[in-house]
Amino acid sequence: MPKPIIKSLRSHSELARFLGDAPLVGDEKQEDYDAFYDSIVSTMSQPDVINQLYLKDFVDLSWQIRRERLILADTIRLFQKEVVLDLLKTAYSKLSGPVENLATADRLLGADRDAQRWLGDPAGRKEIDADLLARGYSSSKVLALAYRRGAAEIDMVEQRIASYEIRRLMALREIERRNEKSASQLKKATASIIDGEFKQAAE
Amino acid sequence: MASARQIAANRKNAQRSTGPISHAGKTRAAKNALQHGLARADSPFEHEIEGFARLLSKEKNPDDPTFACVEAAHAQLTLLQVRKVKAAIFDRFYQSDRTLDDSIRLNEELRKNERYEKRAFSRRKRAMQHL
Repeated sequence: MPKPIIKSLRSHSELARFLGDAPLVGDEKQEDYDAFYDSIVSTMSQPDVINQLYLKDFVDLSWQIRRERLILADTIRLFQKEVVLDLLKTAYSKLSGPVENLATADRLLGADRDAQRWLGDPAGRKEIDADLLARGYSSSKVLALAYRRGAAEIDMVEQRIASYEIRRLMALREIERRNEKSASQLKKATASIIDGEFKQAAE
Repeated sequence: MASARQIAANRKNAQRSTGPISHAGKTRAAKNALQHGLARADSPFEHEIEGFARLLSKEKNPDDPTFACVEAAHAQLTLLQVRKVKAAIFDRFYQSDRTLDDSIRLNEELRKNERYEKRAFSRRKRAMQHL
């Protein structure tokens, strides 16, 4: 379903149609995008049509970079979970004790469940991390194994981010060419917004 | 190796495989491989290009937009279409369980879409340099 046009452009319907809707997907909200847009472009005064086009590019690409960074963090976490699952399966299969012992059987079958706990439950994660550390697998080692395992997928997301960065810089250069002061303010505004939000997501 | 009888039967059967005959059937079959329409040679926005080109040349000469304005308007409309396809790809992903397989599918679909976006972006950039 098409999303409504951005707030600041409502009065110029033809221009807004030309610039396109906000690049919202999933549960991203129009008001968040509007706030993001306003926080970045509030420094610009009366941009002409071409500058509005570059400005919209700049904001949309910044928005997409923010989204891709969250996807990157999720992708790495999913590969970490796969590594944890493999390590737990190996560890549980080596457990000594009679198979008819219920606790042993439960643990053997529970690698999947524990890997899921590692992903979704912070307390369970701590417990499993400690267990893996005792077996010689620190968190950083698990992370390194996840990077190695998911190299191709992680690389694809990073390439997309790099590609958006290049286009964003291009838009910034064009704005700069047309209005140097506004461009430097834009640069500062987005850097603090994107980096701040990514730090929050990674924690 | 097929026998002479089988070859003759194949040829006879092939005479019946002539594809759709009616105009409606031909139109439908022409869209068989169409998934997103981004690779089509003709422009789907002919009626919109002129208006947007006039918008771009507003300050200079709105009554007679230059070729660069038309080209930039066309590329911008293509970009908007590519972005719609991209939004649909993301929406499918966010509606899924977001498993590793879903992430891999997302990456693959976005990789295919990216080349159209890059192409339209470069085309618009080149045209805009003349505005």
